[in-house]
Amino acid sequence: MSASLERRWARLLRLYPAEFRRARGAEVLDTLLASAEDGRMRPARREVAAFVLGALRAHAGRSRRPAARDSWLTACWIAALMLLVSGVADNALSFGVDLAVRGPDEWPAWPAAPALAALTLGLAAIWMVLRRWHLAGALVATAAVAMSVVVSPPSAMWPGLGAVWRFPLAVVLLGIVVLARRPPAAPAGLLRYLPLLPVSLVLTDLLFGQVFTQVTGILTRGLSVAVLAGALFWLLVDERVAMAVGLFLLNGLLVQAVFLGGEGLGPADVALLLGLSALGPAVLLSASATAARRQARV
Amino acid sequence: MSMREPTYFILAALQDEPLHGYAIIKRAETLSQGAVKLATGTLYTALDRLTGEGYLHVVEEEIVNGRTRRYYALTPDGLTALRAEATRLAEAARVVIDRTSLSARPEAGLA
Repeated sequence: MSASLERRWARLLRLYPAEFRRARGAEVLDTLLASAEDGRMRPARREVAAFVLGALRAHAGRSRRPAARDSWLTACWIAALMLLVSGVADNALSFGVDLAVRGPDEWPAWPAAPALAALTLGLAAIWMVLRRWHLAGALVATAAVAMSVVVSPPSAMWPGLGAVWRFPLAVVLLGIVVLARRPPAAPAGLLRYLPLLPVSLVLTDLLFGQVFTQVTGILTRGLSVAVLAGALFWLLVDERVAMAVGLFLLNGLLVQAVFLGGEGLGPADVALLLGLSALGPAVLLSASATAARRQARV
Repeated sequence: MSMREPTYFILAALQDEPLHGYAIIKRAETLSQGAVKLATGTLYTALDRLTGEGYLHVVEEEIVNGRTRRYYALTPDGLTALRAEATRLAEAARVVIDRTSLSARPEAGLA
């Protein structure tokens, strides 16, 4: 056992939560050093990979065996939040851009007032869901959609209104949480920050549209693939991340299915477009379901 | 419900006596004939999970080279789960082994 090896492991041990280090740090270090072959100066790659993965799982609160049902329940809650945040962020950004372009004097009272009310209701729904008032959050999100439907006929192109169509799936997911009659587990690790992902997606989308106008489509698709790949990689740590992202992406598929219905496309074109859109959510949801079943084993 | 292979051999390693982390790694490797080589990170994730499930508990702590060494032992629940899994595996093996011995018998008689 070398002092350099001990130093390196002690440094890697800092990846674990402080509570774990206090309770188990010395014990784990003892086992790591005992497991190392004589004369080894650097930690073995296999040990480092398992150690880092263990640290990530400890941060994600995955040291206990979760029931698959509980994992899905938490994922539904997080996905509902992501959809609400995404709708509100998109809506607010569209308002901001429109205000900057037109100026406040050019804003018509109708439909600006109900559209702003829909945005406010969206914000209220997010606050309620964060407070775990799931039923109230679902009702308020439904009211936001109803408000948009009221505004929609005379001015369907009012900025940000389309974003509210992320709310119906959020309402369905919140309904599942309400019917389960048990609160979803408190998220930890990356899962806690996942509801902020849509904000970064909306902002990145805006940035791509403003700065890289020639390749916006390619960059946006690249970003989607990066999110998909990241969620799949995170299956090793916490399958609920992939579940939540899969449910979030499902909304795009549902909206597209409704949208394509009125486009007058042939059945083959519709099937191809829907098939391509379904690929991401299908991969994420099936892979995470398999991971959840595996995690539920002793 | 089937048990993961590393879990099975961690529990099996503790059948006879309480062991500390490194000893569990070595015993699990021996019992599995080298099939289960637990990395330390994997072992402690599993130990935390199994302790939380009530299958293991810490029975002794000692200080070696200035570091804590904990000894883990099976709880009655852990022993029951291990035996249930061993029975399940034995029954699954019997489905194949019994058939093999039945089909081998007539040939043995002819020889």
